[in-house]
Amino acid sequence: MKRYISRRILVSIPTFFGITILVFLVSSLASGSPLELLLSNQNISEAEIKRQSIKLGLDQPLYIQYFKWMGNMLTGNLGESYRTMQPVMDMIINGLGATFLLAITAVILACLISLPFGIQSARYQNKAWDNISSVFSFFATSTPSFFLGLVFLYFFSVKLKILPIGGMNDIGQENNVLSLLKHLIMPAIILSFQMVGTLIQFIRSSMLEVMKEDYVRTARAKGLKERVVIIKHVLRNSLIPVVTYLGMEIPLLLGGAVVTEQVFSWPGLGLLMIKSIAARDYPVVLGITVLVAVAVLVFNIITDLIYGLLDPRIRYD
Amino acid sequence: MDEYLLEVRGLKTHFLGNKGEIAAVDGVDFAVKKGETLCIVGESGCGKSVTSMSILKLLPPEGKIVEGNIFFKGNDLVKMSESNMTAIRGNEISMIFQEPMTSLNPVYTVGKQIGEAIRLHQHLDKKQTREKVIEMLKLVGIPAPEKRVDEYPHELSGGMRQRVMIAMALSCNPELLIADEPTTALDVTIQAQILELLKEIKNRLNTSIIMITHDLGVVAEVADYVLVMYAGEVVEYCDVKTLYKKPLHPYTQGLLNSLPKIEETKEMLNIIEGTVPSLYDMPSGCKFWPRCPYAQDVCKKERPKLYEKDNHKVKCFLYRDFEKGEINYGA
Ligand SMILES: Nc1ncnc2c1ncn2[C@@H]1O[C@H](COP(=O)(O)OP(=O)(O)O)[C@@H](O)[C@H]1O
Ligand SMILES: [Mg+2]
Repeated sequence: MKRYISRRILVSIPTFFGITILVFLVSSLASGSPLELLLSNQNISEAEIKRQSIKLGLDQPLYIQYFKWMGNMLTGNLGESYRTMQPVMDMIINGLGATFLLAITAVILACLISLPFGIQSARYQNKAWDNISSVFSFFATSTPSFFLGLVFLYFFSVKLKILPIGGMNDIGQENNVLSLLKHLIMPAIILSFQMVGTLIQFIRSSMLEVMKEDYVRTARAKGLKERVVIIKHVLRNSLIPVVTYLGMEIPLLLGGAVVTEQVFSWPGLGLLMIKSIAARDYPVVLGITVLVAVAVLVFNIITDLIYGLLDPRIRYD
Repeated sequence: MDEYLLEVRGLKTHFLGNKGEIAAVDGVDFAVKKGETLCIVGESGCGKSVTSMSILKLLPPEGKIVEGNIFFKGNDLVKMSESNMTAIRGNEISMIFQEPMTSLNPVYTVGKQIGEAIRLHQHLDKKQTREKVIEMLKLVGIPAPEKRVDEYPHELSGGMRQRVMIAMALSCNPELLIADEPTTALDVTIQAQILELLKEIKNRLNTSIIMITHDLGVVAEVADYVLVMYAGEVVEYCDVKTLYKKPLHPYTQGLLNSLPKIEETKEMLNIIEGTVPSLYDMPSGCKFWPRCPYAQDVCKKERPKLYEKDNHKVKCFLYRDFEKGEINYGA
């Protein structure tokens, strides 16, 4: 087991470097460097631009720039933001907390909502419950989150005035948990909604598949109640596709839920990403992208380990 | 008084498929006494499994018992509520399935899976359950049961898994054990061991057994009574000695003739020609006539009844004079 994990980590290292090279290349090829923003300003002299370019290291060959960036990153230094002049690491860590809270809440909500729907629609296939949850999951998947977010804002914040319109805290109330929850609830629901639709369908189809298995008949023949058969024997064996989906979805959420965070001005990585792209603040954009890449690699390993917990036939050697 | 443990009367089980409704079991009667073994034989697809699933009411959603009664200790299972059925399943009637490789849940240890039934029906605590599981594993001849109890199904061979299934089925001392082709998926030596085990258990615990098989060799070994099925119907029903000595129905005769005998050469091997008709496309009259060497005009037009003499029942026009006392033994 330990050997398996260390081997997986070792294998991830070249992948990690591969990704960073790719990301770095793409960003340097992208049209519009921060200098162009300066250039478009008529009042700035050639000399000033040159000075800035040397200061940012943009005058050096690409591979030197990459090695510098990489070297700094390995010591935990992601450089400074062109936009705010703050260390990128600090900005990412700040945003990560907010994003993590939002993502975890959304994932938990999504599981809590989709499990009963998925289970019931598998159990009562093609009956009323199934149809209701099919329609529900169809709407959940196909409604754009910015639209749903605005609808929610309109009702709960503008009309009913029971929920705040955005942000994470009220000013001066940074440690008030109730206030935090009030700010969290709408973006978390909106973010979970996209997952709910997919999860219901995954749980349903996976359970219907397992229900045909001989061992489910064996469980019934033992005299177990239908509820026990469904939870202990069917659901337990249906979780692998669900885990696979979450294992792919969570790292992407950690990169920030761009649309949801923007609609609700949630101060997470998604919002930071949007602002940084608009300002061509490449150190921040690169930093967040690398973070997502690392998260994907880490969650790949975690997903594989959970497979092993779910299915004893999977061995790590 | 001869009380039947199980009495099936006029059982009809239909499936509602996308091509329409089919009668997978089309009027089946039989009865089993305490300690008796009944074998149900017939070619694949003739409704043996559906009959056994009907008894435990474990039919898939598209299957339905449309007529008949299944009396178990005097109570009609057909009318019984689902919650009362769960008290019978695995406790008073239990079942072994054909596929040992897929009939156990891959994610739980065998100990947990056997223990599940024991805890449910016998209300033992964790430690007592484990002891009982080990005792059951020992009973079915699994070596090193203290170690096996914590293993997962994939760590066991097919024969061992079928023993686990038997241990599970017997763990609550059922009065009736239904074994649906328990040895078909196993190789010959393991097959013989499992049959030996079932016979031994029957003698030791006096369990009634319904053994489903398409192998007449198995029947000769274990049966007291034999029910021959064809296309969802009973075509012959009698005790095992009579069946081998004096098979009446042309279908049964065909089945017995297709058994390889040592003194026969291969060319003489008589296999019934043709196949079981599709349930969607049943011939009129007797369902067997298209394959029957003795088919007469009446067979194509009318359905034969189950004629009876001396507890020997047969569904064939050759024997319609049974009731009058005139017997014409077909071949
Ligand atoms: N789930 C089902 N849906 C439709 N038809 C079925 C189903 N299960 C069994 N049948 C039909 O019932 C008939 C009897 O099947 P079965 O009892 O399994 O035969 P066997 O004697 O081989 O055990 C078959 O013709 C089969 O096509
Ligand atoms: Mg069968």
